[in-house]
Amino acid sequence: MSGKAKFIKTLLMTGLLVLLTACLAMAGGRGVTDKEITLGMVLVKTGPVAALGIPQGDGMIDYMNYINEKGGINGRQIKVIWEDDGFQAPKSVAAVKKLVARDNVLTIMTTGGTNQTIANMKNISRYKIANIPNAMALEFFEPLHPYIFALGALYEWQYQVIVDYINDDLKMKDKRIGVVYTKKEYGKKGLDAIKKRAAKYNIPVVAELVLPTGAVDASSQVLALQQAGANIVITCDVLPPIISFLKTAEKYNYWPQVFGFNWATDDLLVKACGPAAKNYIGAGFVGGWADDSPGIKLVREIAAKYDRKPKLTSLYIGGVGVSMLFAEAIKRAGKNLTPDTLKAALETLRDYDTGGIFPLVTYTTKSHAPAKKVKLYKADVEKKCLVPLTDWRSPKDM
Amino acid sequence: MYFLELLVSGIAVGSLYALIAMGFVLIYKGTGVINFAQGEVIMVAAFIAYYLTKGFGIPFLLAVPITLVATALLGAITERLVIRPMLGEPVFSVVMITIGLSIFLRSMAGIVFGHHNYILPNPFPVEPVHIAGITLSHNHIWSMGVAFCLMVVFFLFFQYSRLGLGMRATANDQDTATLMGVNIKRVYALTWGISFLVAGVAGIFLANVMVLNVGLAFVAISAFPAVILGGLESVPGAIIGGLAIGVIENLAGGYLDQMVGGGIKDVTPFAVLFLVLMIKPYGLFGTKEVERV
Repeated sequence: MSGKAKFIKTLLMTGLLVLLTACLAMAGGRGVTDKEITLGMVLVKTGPVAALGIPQGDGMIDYMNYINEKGGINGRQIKVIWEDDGFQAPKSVAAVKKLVARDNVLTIMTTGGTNQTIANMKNISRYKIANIPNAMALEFFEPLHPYIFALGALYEWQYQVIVDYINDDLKMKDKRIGVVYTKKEYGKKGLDAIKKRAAKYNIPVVAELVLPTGAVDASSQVLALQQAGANIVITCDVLPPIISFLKTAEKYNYWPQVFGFNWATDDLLVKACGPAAKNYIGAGFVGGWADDSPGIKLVREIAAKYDRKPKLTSLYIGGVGVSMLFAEAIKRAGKNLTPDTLKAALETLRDYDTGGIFPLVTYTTKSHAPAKKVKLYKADVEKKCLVPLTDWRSPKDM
Repeated sequence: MYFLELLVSGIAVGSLYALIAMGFVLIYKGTGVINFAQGEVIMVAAFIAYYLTKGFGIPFLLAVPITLVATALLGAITERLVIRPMLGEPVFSVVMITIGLSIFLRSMAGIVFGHHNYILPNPFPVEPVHIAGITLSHNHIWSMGVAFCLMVVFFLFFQYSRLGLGMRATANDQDTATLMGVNIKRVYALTWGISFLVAGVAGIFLANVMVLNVGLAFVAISAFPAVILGGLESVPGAIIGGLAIGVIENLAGGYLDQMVGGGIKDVTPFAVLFLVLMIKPYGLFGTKEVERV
């Protein structure tokens, strides 16, 4: 090929590229046409922890369908593609690439849990995927990651609020804390936070016992806590083992004040345990299903509309809330919707009120940190649900 | 009293391990195969019981026999479709098939029953029984009783019944058993059916003390040290192994967990497993294979 021909070919190719880019820009950019916005989400649908992903995903999709029925956003309908990662990081990475390369999505609203999001960090930056992970980790927002928007108080903050409550509000003499935890990231972080906070208040931690997720029985843990004289038990575990724990404690007529964190703050616990849950208090960063707030009323309305009866209501509520934040950002980004304008729009949220689904949400160009707030809920055995015990609370400055 | 409470609750949990272990042992004793899908059968049985009672409103006492018949049928069908084509093939290949079966059953359970958490309605009184200051739940009392009854039944079955002897002969040497007139196909179908039925019993009791979800299948791993401790081909061994693991686990949890900051309870059964394998590789009641050259 002669030099001139080579030059003309290069010129033509460049021209085509410019034309293609211009067409895409006119059409609204990646995942956006005049009539439709395509979003993705990577969330577990199958496998042992599918129960955690399905209600959240259902909530996210239902809210977008609700918005579509109201005419969409800025004249565009929202289409959501849900990829299942089986709660495995390699599958999550593959799903993210598929959603961007093949499905050409504007963004992926969530890339799953902690491990999955960390595994995807390079892709999130490379493809400018503004996303809200379905997990809480300091790595998501410190240092600032331009496209990750953290939501939900860190486990450490939740346990600090719990210990603050034990010290300031719990009417009990000779407080003695026992900790039941699992040897997973959240369990270890929780245990550490409880010990540090309790030490500041001079409340003794008299027992630390492991209760794994698949435990057949919690007898030895309950008996050991009784033996140690723990009148307060803080659990750093998910729902199934806590249900086993509470039922076993009931069997031994052991009634300490029991606390749990967000993954164990759900109405299912009260339904499953019945009277065994009467002393349970849970921390959560989403509103409760029975709340009277406008946001939660909307969630219940949406669930009824799409005939959902979520088993884990807190996750369904969280799913609706996440979609609500993206819908608001898409609205604020206006007609010129690109990954960059979407990110910029999320960064304009200041004390954004989801009507009680989340505490007020604020993101800026300098911080994508979540609100430090949680609400405490207590079990209402008669109503078979959790009812608010406090308003939104932050850990005390110490 | 603390020690006694730990001991008795250990025996109670051990009876659940014993029921699971018995399922493993029955298949091994009858066919020489370790069925790695045993946990999945337990989970499927628990789901069947759940849907019968909660979905169709069938009384628990009626749901139990229906569940057990369904699981026994599942065992016979599994044998016919999955295991029988493998007759005469190396045991290793059959074991690999059971691993595939476990993945298949777990996936199917997710599709059919869903991935949520379910609570099996408790058929037993919530108020526990107090005997000389020791607390026991009705569920645990029943599981201990059932485990003991099954042990006696299967011990007699394998020791004295023609079919039981045929099953042992088949496990020992398929070719010789065939030459001796044992109907191997029938033996296999019955073995898998009975083993699945026992897994069904375990599933019903487990779903009463745990939250029911697809993850229930993994509980079989907890019972595996009991199988090894008792000996792979001994029904009384499965019971004693199960009870021993339950007690050891509970005592370790009650006394050692606090000293080291937790976690010993879960490790202890596997430490026992290693020790047994080093000292008595055939387990406490297993048969030592003697090879003559």
